[in-house]
Amino acid sequence: MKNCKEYCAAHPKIESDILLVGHPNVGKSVLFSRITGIKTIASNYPGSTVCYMEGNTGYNNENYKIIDAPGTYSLEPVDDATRVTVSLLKNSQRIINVVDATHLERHLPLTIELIEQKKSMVIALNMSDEARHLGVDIDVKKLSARLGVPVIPTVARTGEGVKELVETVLAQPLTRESFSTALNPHPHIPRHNEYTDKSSIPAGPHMHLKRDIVWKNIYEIVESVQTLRHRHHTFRDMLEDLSVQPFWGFIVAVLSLLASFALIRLTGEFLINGSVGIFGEPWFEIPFGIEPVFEKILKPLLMKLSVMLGSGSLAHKILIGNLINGDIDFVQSFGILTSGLFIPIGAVLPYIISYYFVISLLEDTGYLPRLAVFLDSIMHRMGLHGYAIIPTLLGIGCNVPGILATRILETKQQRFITSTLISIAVPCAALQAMIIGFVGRAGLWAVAFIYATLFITWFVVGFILKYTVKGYKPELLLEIPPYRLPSFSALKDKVLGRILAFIKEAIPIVVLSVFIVNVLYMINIFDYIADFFAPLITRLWGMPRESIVPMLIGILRKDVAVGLFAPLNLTVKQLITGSVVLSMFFPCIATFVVLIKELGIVSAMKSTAIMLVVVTVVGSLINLIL
Amino acid sequence: MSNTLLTELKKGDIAEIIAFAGGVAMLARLKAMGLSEGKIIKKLSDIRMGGPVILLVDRARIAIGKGMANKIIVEKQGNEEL
Ligand SMILES: Nc1nc2c(ncn2[C@@H]2O[C@H](COP(=O)(O)OP(=O)(O)OP(=O)(O)O)[C@@H](O)[C@H]2O)c(=O)[nH]1
Ligand SMILES: [Mg+2]
Repeated sequence: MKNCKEYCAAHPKIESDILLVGHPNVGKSVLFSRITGIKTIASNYPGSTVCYMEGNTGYNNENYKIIDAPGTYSLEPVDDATRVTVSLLKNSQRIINVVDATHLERHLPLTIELIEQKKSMVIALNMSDEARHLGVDIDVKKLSARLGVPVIPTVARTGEGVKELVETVLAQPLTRESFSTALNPHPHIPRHNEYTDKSSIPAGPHMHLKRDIVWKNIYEIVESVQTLRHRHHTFRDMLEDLSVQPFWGFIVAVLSLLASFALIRLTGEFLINGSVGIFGEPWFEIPFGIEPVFEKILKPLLMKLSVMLGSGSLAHKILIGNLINGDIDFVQSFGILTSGLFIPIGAVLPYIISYYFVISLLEDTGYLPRLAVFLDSIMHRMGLHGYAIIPTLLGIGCNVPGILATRILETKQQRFITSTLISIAVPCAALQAMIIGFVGRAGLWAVAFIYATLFITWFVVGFILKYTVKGYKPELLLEIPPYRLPSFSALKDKVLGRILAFIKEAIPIVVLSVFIVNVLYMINIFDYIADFFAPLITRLWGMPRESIVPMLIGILRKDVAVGLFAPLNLTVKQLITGSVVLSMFFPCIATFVVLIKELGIVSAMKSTAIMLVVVTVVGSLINLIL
Repeated sequence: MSNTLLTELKKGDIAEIIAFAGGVAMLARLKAMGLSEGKIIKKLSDIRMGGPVILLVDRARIAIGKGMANKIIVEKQGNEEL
């Protein structure tokens, strides 16, 4: 990804030549990708971009900086994402206002706010393909004349109109002092230039009046440029209505979640060893998979290396690790070339692939906002609203993007609760893959017990936080996007991008962790630390004192930590306690850093204190109950 | 016809938004979403049990949390079966 940076500053002061502004989910990120060639994360739900992306486009031998901003409904900063966009707008030269051709009237209020900024501006009438399909005809010339701004129909998905859009926006003069008075077709209604000047003032009764006038103008404009051809109720309409009805919607929600879990498991196991089956005996197996590659190809090579190095040498210890019964065990040996490669690639990567495949599919179809609708009342008990499920689900992949995605929530309080819950009770995919793969050998019920414990903890902690975290906790207010057929190439790019990011970020840290473990063992430092933590670990949690090693390494990588349980000969009960504690006890360093960045140091410390209490209590409870 | 609350409407009811009984912050969010006085809405669904209400406004589907929906005063204009 060249020329690409994603920024997450709260008030960016960055300058840009072209800024993409528009409602959430209108296709800004796809358009940005088309213009710059940079792959971005675009999803079919409002709020997929919460930070901003910067890229470049060349035109007439000049280079222009272009920024993809978070979606916003108006320039009144009601949430953090909008605040980012408003800051970006101040420092941009030209605006591309992206609107949805299928719902013109909903987008024009923002367009008018933007026009009143008096910047060089062009409108991208995006989703023109859907508009054609839905029988919405827009007279582009007339619209452009009415607004006094060029309008270019585009289809970001295919690239239609994108070249013309860029040419038009760059051909516009930079200042636009005067603009069409077309916005005000009725001379007896005064124009309200103060409208945006006072936009930072919350709407008072006076503002309503102006807004109503704006709406009247908008309906009048839309009526004059748009014709709606009558169309019949389609299957998609039916599905769309059904999935938000109380009974059928609930059935659909349960089925989609079950299907998602099944698909993740199926794909994950298939990639690992070519077996097809959800639990128990596989339905069938084919000779395929990442595990055979390790066992049949890599192992013989590494055994040769082992002989060459001599099993007592330092190099052997670091590269190969310990031989278990004279053989390499990819989980237990703990050398850089054995466990250091197997954990990220052999055990975790297959589940990373399958998880990201499924979540990307859910993102692109547009099902997630509907799920949010159904979970709204449950999330209410936790001081949240249904949309908090989106960061939570993203957190299952990796806590870091999950915590960043809490920006789609409106207030600090909600972001604090959601982030704290993610860091405590949502294990990342890497950790889950290891739990399923390693603890799963002890029995399916053990895995089920771990998940149930985490889920109950998530809910109970949320319930308590609702009453302890004071402040405004707004309710769900969400535009539900239409279902869309995922575009195959976009899906492929997205999944691939996320997998590459995992490989790039995880493997070096895994190798480093394995190295550190070996060094620390050699200098025997763990003994002292173990003594210090012994009361907590042995008395309260009922774990052997050596398990301090995986707990501490968990701060670097959780998946490596589970691997360190292997040589300890834990009982099933200890495995369960260990996995739960590992999920909760100190988020990995990467998560901790975003937690501090996103919440601020004080709240991050509060969140950490809550985590320490929760992990102590839950670990002890499991030890008591089982 | 008399005024009621959004939550009182039945599925398929068509109504005009009359007023909002909520605070400033709630109002700003609703307006930004295109929900303002005088708008015609159609109630598509009500999840009940504390769940949100789903509306059709300007042909877009919008989910509104129960507590917020309870503060939106509307005037029923008719019913159109879904
Ligand atoms: N049919 C069609 N779909 C499109 C078009 N442009 C974007 N989409 C789809 O619309 C959805 C939203 O696209 P994004 O690019 O994520 O929208 P965004 O404006 O960046 O959204 P936020 O980041 O939430 O503000 C995705 O599912 C896209 O595949 C288009 O021109 N036609
Ligand atoms: Mg985006």
